Amino acid sequence: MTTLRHVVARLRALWRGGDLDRDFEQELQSHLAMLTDDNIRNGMAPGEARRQAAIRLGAAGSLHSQHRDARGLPAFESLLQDLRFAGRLSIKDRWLSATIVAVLALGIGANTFGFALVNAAFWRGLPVPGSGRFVMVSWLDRDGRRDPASHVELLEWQQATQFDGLAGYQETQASLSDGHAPPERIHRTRMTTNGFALLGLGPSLGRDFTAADGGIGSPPVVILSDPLWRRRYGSDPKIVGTAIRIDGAHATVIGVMSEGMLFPDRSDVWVPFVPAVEERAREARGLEVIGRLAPESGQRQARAELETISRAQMSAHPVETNGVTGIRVESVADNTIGGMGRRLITILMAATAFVLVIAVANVVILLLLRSGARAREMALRAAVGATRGRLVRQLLIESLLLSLAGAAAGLAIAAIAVQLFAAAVGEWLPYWVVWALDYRAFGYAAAIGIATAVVFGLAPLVSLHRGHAMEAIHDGGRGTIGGVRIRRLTTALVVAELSMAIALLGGAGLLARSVAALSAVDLGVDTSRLVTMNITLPEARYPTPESRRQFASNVQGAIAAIAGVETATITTGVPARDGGERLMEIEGWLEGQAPVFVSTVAITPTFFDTLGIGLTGGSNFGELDGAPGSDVAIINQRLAAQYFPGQDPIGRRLRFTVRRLAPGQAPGRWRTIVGVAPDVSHGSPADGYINAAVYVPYREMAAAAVSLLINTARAPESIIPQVLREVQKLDADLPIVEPRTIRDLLAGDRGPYRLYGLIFAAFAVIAVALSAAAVYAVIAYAVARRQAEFGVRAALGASAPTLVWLVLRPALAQLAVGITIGLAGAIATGRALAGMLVGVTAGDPITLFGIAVTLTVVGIAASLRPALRAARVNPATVLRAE
Amino acid sequence: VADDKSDILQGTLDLMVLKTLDAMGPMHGYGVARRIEQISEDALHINQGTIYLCLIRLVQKGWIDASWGTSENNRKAKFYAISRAGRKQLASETRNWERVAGVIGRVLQLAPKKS
Repeated sequence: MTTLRHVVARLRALWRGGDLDRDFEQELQSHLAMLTDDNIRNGMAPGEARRQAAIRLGAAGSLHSQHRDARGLPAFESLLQDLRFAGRLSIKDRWLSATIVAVLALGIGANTFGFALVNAAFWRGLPVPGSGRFVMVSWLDRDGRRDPASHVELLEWQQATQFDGLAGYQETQASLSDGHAPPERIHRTRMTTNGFALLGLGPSLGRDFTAADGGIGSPPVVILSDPLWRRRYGSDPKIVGTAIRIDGAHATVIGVMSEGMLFPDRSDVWVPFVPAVEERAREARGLEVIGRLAPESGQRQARAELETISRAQMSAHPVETNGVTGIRVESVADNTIGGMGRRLITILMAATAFVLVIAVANVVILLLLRSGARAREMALRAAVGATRGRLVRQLLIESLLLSLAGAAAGLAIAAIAVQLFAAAVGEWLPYWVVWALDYRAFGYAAAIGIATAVVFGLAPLVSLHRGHAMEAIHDGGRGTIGGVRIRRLTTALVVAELSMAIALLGGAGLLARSVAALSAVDLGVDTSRLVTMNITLPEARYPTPESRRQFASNVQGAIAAIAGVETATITTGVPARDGGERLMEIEGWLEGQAPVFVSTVAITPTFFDTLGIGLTGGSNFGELDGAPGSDVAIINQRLAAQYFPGQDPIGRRLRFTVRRLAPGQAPGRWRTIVGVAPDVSHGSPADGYINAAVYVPYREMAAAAVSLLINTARAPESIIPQVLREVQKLDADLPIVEPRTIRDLLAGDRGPYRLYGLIFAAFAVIAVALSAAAVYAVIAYAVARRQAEFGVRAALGASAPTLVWLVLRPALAQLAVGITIGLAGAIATGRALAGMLVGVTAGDPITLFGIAVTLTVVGIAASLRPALRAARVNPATVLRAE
Repeated sequence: VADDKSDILQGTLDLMVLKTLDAMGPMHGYGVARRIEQISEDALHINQGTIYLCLIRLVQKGWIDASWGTSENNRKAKFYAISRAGRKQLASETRNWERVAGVIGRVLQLAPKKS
């Protein structure tokens, strides 16, 4: 109690220092007066009485300071003093301070941005209570890929005791129709009825699924997502209890999920998982499985238990588990983001760390260059009694002040960068990856601020170290003490900055080249006239291939009738997309020759006309091709060249097969090759080559998900409204997916590369600018210090070029070393980016050469100004100043 | 540097100030200083300024209270009065002091060992 009172009193004294000083002054005055009175009474003359009184009381100044120490917190007050001093100093050197804050803001901002991405993607997890306890469970196939589980298997996994529960789900697309709005394509999740309870979230309206909803034959029910409910049903609570149609089948709305719950990813509706007949087989693996660990269990125990169960499953059902080798238990982020996403984000984080290191190195250089002047001040302080600890504290306070200002500005930069990033990436990662700064990011920025403050705050000590105070004072602030050490350290830092800048520039350059390569990709067709639109024919109303073929033929006719449209076609493979890869083998291949993967594309006879290309051999499909008994195919030139080298493929036969034929399963029928088409890209342009492709008649492979492809002589965008009208005239219930030009489609494909390249470019620009500034600062400083020397040299007859060379030579040496190390770094960056590179390799000589040249030019430009200043030195002025 | 020596004095001064205020009732700083000097018959010549450091310490510990008032000669002065916590402290300190003083006294009376 007493201690607390004491502390409070001292703290109050801190803030009321002025009042207390006055109070004490008054008290002392009254003491003096009384003492003087007594002295007079004892017979002293008034003047002498006052003098004696003052002597008795003691030195007023010392009393005041002792009084302050006794009543307040002396350590804290001297801290405030240091702070005030640091503040005054940063205002005095405001340009230096502003530069340091700005540089740190860039570095900390970039790094916090990188941290925020990692945090959002990997650490924050699902927006549900106890998100860290959720794991995903999947089978692993022979190639190490994840395989979903079947319903039967899930039921067995659910016996595991290390889990609170396990739920299965399956994401599918469906069409939603009702009386409220035009039909639309939606994300539907089929989920076992325990799903929401396991995730710990319930509906905000209506009820959750019950176990009965998942029973076979139970009335179909559906839960709407909050955004769908707001958007489509105007937040009408009365929707609960009514029926809507999903893929044409009625389902009763039983609830609206609470806001923010879109599991697994932007789900619009959830329906209970009721296994269809074919889904009741053990090998019918279609369910993703999520589990919540029991409170007392860890991931390892959970994995061990599931492994035991899965091994039992594998030994009990060897045929059904033929394709799998084991199970995998992992965090939700690892499961859903993993692979490329993880790599890209990690690389970004590393790149931002580079930017931060470069920024801090810059600040250290600035402070080192100034430390000559500081050394004198420090020596003076030491001479008048400042302890070493006090000096260190003083330096740290100064740097903390600057770096926390930098961190605050950096946070603002990071917030903006994260927002821009969020807008640019769109729906790249699952819904629960929210690109935003949270308290962790704030803590991170603060921690980085403090860490950098320690690093650059103590830098001036390098020059103070071991220096004799008197020397420093006599030196007149020119700071020769520690000069060699400063020079070495700054040179090393500049070299390090240059190499990191080059590594970043390398990444940016390679990505830029990839984007260029992607833009230049030749699809084999003129894309400027093509418009496409996805259509999915609901199974309920287009149950047979014939009904779908009929629709295709109707829509082609209707669209072709629009003025300005040349031709239209229905296909599963608009350029740069395909209708799926399948295994193909050719008649006459030797026994044991493995089938190969080729792109397959279902087309109608108008396909090649619409693309504006003609067959190079054979003939096009006819209207009746693909009907039973007419098994035909058209191959592309690449396939012909690869598998029929020097032969005429027309009339030869091929068929589709699968890798492991199940007992009783036969490969597809042989089909005769009737034509050879020019190469058109049906694979990712990022592959850099055109796949072997087989075209089959749509009549035969009448998929429900198709694209309408239109060739128009008018501006492609201008016919879109008419196209929409015609399609709706044919079937008002068809969900509409916005038509796009093929160009937009391809630009969309390039999006991630562009975004990634832009981010890298931004970092590279910052890095190069900062390194150039460092080069400039170091050389300008060297020139300033060597004024006298240059003056003497000039006086002794050194020519201007000689003087310039004297300055440039060490600068060039720095550049050379930095570039050499940096190029190795650039290649390493390129390797790390391997999956993102198109048409270039990590060691791309053009990119590397370009970077080396760029950096050399920038480096020379940065050193040229100070070098020229050296050449212009006027010997007379300099020597007089000496 | 001076702290080592003043530690004992400080504790003693605290005790003397508390006792003075306890015995004499509320007093101003000058009065306390005078009183201690008189009692010690000027054997203890304290720097009067140090009294104030002692007073502020005691106020912070809550053992005495301070308020502005008017002196017997009509001067404005700050008056200090012992608080309840101060009386308790004084009692325990006094006991403590007597014990220590007793021990020291006995130690000092030890006769030198005959050799």
